[in-house]
Amino acid sequence: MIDHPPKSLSTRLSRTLAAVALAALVPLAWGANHREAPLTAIDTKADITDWFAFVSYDNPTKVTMILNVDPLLQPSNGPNYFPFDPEVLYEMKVDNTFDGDEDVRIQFRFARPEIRLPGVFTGFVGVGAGVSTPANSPPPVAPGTPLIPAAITALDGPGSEGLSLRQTYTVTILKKVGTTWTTVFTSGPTRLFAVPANVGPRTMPSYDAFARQGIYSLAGGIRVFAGTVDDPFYIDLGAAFDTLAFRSGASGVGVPGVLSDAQDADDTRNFASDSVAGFNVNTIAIELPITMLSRDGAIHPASDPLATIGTYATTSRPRIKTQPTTPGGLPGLSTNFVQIQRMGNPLINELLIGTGDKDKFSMSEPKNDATFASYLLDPLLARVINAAYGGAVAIPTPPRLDLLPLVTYAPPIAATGTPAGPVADLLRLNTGVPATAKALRKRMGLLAGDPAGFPNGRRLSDDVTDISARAVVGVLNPAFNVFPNKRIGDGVNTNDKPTQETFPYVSFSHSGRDSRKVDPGEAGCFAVLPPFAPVSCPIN
Amino acid sequence: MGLGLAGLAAGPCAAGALSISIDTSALAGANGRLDFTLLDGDFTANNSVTIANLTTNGVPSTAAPTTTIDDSAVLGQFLWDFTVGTLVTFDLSFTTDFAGGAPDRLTLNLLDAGTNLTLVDTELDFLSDPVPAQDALLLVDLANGGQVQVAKRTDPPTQVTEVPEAGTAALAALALLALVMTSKSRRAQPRAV
Repeated sequence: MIDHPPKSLSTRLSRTLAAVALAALVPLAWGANHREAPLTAIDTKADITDWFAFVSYDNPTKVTMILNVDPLLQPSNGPNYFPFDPEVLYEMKVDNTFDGDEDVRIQFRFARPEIRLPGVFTGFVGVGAGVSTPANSPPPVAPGTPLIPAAITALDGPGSEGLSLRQTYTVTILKKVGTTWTTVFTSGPTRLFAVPANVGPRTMPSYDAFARQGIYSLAGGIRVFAGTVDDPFYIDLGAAFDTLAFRSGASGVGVPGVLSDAQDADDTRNFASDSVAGFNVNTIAIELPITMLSRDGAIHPASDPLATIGTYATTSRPRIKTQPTTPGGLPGLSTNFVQIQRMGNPLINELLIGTGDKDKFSMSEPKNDATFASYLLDPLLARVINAAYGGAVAIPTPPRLDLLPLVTYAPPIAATGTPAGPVADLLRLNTGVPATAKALRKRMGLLAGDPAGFPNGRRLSDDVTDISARAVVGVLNPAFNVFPNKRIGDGVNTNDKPTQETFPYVSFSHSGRDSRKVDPGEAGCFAVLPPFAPVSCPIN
Repeated sequence: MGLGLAGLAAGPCAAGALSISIDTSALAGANGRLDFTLLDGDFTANNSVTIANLTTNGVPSTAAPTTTIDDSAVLGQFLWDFTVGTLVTFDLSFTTDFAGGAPDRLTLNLLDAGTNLTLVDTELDFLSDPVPAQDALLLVDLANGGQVQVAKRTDPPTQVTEVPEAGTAALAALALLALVMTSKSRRAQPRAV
């Protein structure tokens, strides 16, 4: 039976939201980390936009982890596009002893991009089979001189001549035994190339085939990929940041920020514009055996505490940097690093931590997160939503113990009997829960009964915006899993590009020449009532 | 504010040496990292610092041989990881060439080996200096024989002591003796009437 809200309630919600002026400005970054802290609003190269961890779709014995950095990359932004920062230490971290402290570290370092065509004004160039100078080429360049390389079809060797800017990276895996860190894997002499952005069809024809060359199979059953890709995050960012000015035109019940049952059940359509559509992001993806991450090197069923791991990602910079003393010179960099940012859940720093503490949180370690517990136990955002809707969105009374499963090892993610550990912002993943088949996968994850979805790890397709918002207003407490709480949503239910079903799962880069955005008033949305005909995205 | 630069003359100067003792009792058990950083201030590669005889709790460190860092690459750094005990000692010797502008600066920090964040808050914070420093236990500006600053206010308490070298102490004793002898000699002279 479809649960339609009473008309009087819808009317009250709508009028109240329109009338209430919020008393406090809330730093809203729903569900991901696109420049969410003061420091990373400036240092975007070290800004972690999203962190994903899930059991691989095609192999239940492996886990895929994806670290996205450097937000909202405009696909056409040549001539250098988007290299990874060679001064940043990118790390993925895994806790398998339930103490909130990592036991496995996976480190990625990127070399300074090599400049293979130093005299050329752009980083990527190529046309067809190459172009030579014409008959009227003035001296000293003789006619028939090869001038423009062939189109770029390879990362190395023939077909890569036009790849002037090319960046390599290394992968190192360390494990902690006692207090000692030991290197257990390095990518060694294998040259790993980061896949550049898709410049356009002339320079990079057959881009997807080209990008797939950046998938490397390494020893130990490890696969890696790094490069510029489509940003898989989706949200009506403009509405969210305009102090919750969600669009009534995106709501099937006429209430801004509230979806109808039919809308909520549709994981394939957007009813409001996806502000991130058409943008790229830099990604680092790794797939590795669960046995490399678990405490005892074994695979465990979901009912076993040892099946659950806690994960997060960090970016770090050298503690000291001195600027070059000569034009074009290199900086001096200390060999020890200081953490700039971290991300576990796509929720804590954005929705819960006050702006005054975001940088402190970013530079802290999860095992010390009890320091920030007050933000979790009485989240301001919940009160803001409660006020914005004039009380129609009731919220639980603090302390918000219903949010503890997000920051401790506890059911429904971890098995019963798992040591809870300290309060720590980790994305916890029960590796004993296999991936959900595509046909059964739900964007609302665990809230929709999909056991392999957020907050049990996080997949690319999980709608962390809506999940997080609903968690904040209390739906994890059965008494508050009622309308409208359980239908809070921005109306953006899916990414603009379908993600892949196999490693690296992200959709490859938007074309720099041909990409477009999806803005309010433009095509790309659907009507809010069935049969959901295509319409322009609502402005209001 | 940082050390005043008035009166500092450019040019090669005599080398310096000192011994340092750090009471680390308040941090015993921590995974520490001594971070010796030499930063170029005068835009000239002209100085070096040698760190020797590192001990913790009186036991020489086998993992920290005599090490020399210099400013040839603008930044010279030596990191020593250790389990913090009750006492750390080491010897420093350094050149003090100064080409003008800001002197090269040796900074010593005690960091958490895992996070590289400081284990000790000190008053030696010079965030806006030509050669900045933060929460330093020891600063040595390499000019005029070496301008040494030792942290006086530390949290947790981590007393840093500059131990005079044996040679230096002997010279000081001789100088004092000479002063005393001179004073007695004057008294022995008949006063003019």
